[in-house]
Amino acid sequence: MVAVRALQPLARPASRPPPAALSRMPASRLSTEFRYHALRRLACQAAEADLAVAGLAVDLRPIDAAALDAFGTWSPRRVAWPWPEMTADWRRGYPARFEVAVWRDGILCALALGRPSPKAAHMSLHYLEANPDPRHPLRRKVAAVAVTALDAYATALGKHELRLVDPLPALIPFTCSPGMGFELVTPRGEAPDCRRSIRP
Amino acid sequence: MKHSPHPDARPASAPAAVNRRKRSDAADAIPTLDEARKRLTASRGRAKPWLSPGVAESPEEVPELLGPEVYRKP
Repeated sequence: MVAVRALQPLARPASRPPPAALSRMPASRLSTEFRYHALRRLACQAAEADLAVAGLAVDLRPIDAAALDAFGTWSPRRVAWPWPEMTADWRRGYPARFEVAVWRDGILCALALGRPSPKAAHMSLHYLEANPDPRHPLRRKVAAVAVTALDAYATALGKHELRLVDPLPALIPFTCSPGMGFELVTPRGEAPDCRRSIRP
Repeated sequence: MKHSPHPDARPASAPAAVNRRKRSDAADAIPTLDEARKRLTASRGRAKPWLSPGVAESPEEVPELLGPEVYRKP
C-alpha cells in the first residue's frame, strides 16, 4: 500500500521568467511562440469563463516552472511520462501546441499537451495526466476541463474537429457518452482516437 | 578570403529561400487575437453538453489519463 501525502497548496510566483528554451530561439521563431502564447492565454480565459458558468472555478496556465515543481510531488503515478522533458521538446518542436496546467485552490490537478494538425482542420490532445492523489479538488472532472480548454483553443485557431489520441480503453465509453459527444475512430494502421466536430 | 554568395543571387529553390518562404507562410497562417476573439465570441452560443447540466464526471474507478504507454519524442 502506498501512502498518499496530504495535498499542500503551492505558492506560485506572481511573474515567472520565460523558459530557458525561449532564450535560444531565433527572433522569428520567438515571435511565432509569443503569438501562439497569446492565443493560448485567450483560449484559456474563455475556457475558464465557460467552466465558471458551469460552477467550476479553475485556473488554466501554461506548464511553467511552478507546474513542474508541483508535478514533482505527484505520487504514486500510473505512467512515467517525463513532463519536464516532454514540455521542453514540444516547446521546441510545436509553437502552436496546446499546453495547459490545470490548477484549483493552488493545487495542480492535471497537465495536458496536444497540437493542431499542420494542414487538416483538427486539434489533437495527446497527453493528459491527472494528479494521482484521489483527494485533489477536480477529481473525475479533469477530462471535462481539458476538453473545454482544448475546444476553446481549437476554436481560436479556426479548427473544426477535436481528437483525443490513444484513449484508455476503459475511458472510451465515457468519452463517447452523449455528454462528451466523441466518436471512436480507428484509422487503418494507426492508434485509435476519439473525434468530435466543433462546428457550430 | 572566403565569402558566401549574396542571398539575392541564390536560386529560388535554394534551401534558404524555401525556409524563408515557409516561415513567412507559417506566420501568415497564425490567427490574430481579434480573429480568435471573434471566433470565441461566436462559439459562446454553441451547446457544450459536457458542461451542462453540471460538469461531466468520468467513471469512479478509471484513471484520468490519455496518451501512449511509452513516451515518444515528437
